[in-house]
Amino acid sequence: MARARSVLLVDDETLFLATMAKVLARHGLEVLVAPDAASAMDIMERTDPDVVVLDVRMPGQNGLEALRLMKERHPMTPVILLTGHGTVDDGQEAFRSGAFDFQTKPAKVSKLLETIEEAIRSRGLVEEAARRQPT
Amino acid sequence: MSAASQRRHATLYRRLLENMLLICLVPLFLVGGAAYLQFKHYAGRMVLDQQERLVLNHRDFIESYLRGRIAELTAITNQYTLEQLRAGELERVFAVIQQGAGIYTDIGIIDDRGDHMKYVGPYNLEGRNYSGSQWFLALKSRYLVVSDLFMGYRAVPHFIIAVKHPTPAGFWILRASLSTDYFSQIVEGIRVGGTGEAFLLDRQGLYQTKTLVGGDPLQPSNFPYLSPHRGVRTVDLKVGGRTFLCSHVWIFGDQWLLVFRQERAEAFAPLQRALWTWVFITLAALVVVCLTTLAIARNLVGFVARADAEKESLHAQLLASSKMAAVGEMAAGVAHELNNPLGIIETLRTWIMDLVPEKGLAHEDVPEVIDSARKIGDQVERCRRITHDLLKFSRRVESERARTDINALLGEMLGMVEHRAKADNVRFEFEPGPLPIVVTSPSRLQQIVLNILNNAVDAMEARGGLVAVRTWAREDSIQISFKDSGCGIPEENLQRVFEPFFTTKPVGKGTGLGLAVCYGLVQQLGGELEVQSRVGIGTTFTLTLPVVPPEGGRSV
Repeated sequence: MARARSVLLVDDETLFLATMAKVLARHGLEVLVAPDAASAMDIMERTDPDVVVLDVRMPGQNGLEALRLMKERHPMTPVILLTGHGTVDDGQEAFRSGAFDFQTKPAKVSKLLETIEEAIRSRGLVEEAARRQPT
Repeated sequence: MSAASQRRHATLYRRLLENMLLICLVPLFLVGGAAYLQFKHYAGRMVLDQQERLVLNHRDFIESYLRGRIAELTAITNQYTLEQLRAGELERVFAVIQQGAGIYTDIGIIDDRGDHMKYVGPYNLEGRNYSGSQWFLALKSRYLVVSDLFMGYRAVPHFIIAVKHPTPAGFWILRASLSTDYFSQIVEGIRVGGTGEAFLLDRQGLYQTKTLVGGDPLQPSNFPYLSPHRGVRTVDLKVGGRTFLCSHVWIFGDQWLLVFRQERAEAFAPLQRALWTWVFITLAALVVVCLTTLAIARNLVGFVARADAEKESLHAQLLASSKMAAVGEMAAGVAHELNNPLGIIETLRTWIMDLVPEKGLAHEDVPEVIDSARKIGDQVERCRRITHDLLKFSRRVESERARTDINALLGEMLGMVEHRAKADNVRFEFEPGPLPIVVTSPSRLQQIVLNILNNAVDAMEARGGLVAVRTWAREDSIQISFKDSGCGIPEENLQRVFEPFFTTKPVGKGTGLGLAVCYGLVQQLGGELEVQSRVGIGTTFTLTLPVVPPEGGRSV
């Protein structure tokens, strides 16, 4: 695959961003970080990351609104929602809005990594299928 | 109910009783008293009126009787000449006017010198001279005399009627004496009851006729009301220690006083009987009023006591649910705030574990660091469990309702828990009863059932045991019972099992939120959750769910 495996982390907790970025980088991912939804949209316009990990509760635009916007502009980019206020109903809402997965904080890094890998693989398959059936 | 409530109800009962009795009894006594006085007055007046009317009628009767006799004698003097009467007509006429009844004792003719010229009767009075007699002297200026009772020549009490007949030479007199017995019978003719009698007195108060109580003719009566007066008068008079009601009226031109008397007790006996009836009815009314008042007061206080008990229970429920709501709000905030730092700790822990083997720590310390990092991970997991339970507890979001087969859902849940239960040597027994399809939230119900089953398994404390699940239908609800043979819950804890953060499990094993979450969820489903327990025997949770959740109930 020509594309680098890149992850965009969006969270208002800077310590969380910094630590998670280091951990994910150590597992071979290129990590981009954004402290809010607006910066995340800017980064996506410029670099098109393979996958986005998005916090639900943030100041300004919240994660679910950002998710809808991202799916509108970048429908191929899988978005994993991460929240401290995890409920089944929030999860259902996330999936309805097009989230790839929904995980609750504190998330096990190993599980998150698995999900990221899965999302990238899934995106690759989808893009492959799209290339074979040009419109 | 509290002692204060009981005291308040006792006071209420007493005051209610006092006031109601006052309200009922005061008018009863006022009306009853007024009726009593009125009745006594009018009935007493009636007794007097009746007696006075009797006396007046009797007066008229006696007077007409005497006038009849006078008319009779006057007619004789006018129809017969002196000679005819002396020649023998007097005997014949006397026989006719006697009418076989013995109205007269005798009859005679007296000349203007007072000599008895002719006599027909049982006494030997012919030739007697009456010129000194009171009646003869009275006839000088009158043509008619009716005498008082007197003895005269015959020495027997008697009345006479004398009629003067004028002649050209002077006059002669026809004189008849009335039979005392016959006249007494006429006067006494209105005997009433055992003591009512009538008699005549002359102006000096001497008896003119016989009496039952008092004296014989010509004896003094000591009657104190001899002054002349018009009409009838009634007075109380004591005779021989007994009180008599005496009505008296002057008759025959104020010559005699006609007295009717009856013992007062006898005269008023019917009135007295009526008054006793009144007293009886009043007492009966009193008893009825008292009993009714007691019953009403008791009912009212019972009603208030029930309402108060309901209010106390509602108040307790309100307090409990507001406590739950407050805890819920707080729990959500705390949980969310904790999850973020926990996320950071978990990520840092992962970072440490990633780094440690490469950074040249002393070889023997590496396993220690990794072990500590793992333990940090365990504690983060424990915190995560607590915060997630808190979030479930505070959840207020909508969940979709669906037509649910409760027995099937329970079967699935039992299957899920069975695996863990087998390890703890716990058996499940499921007795599904026929149930209608229920409209409810299956995910909420799963949470509730899972919590209760996990608690039941925990209650066996690895000793093993039996959890019996039964379902049955009621009118418009269904019930599920979960009966375990676990350690049971002591009485003092039974009231608290649904309180948030109440747990008897060892530290770290339970968050104290499981049953509180269940309670909240059951309420959201419009149902009820009850618990019964006996230490050493086991605990039964009974879940009641409406077949169709109430409209406008709490959101699910």
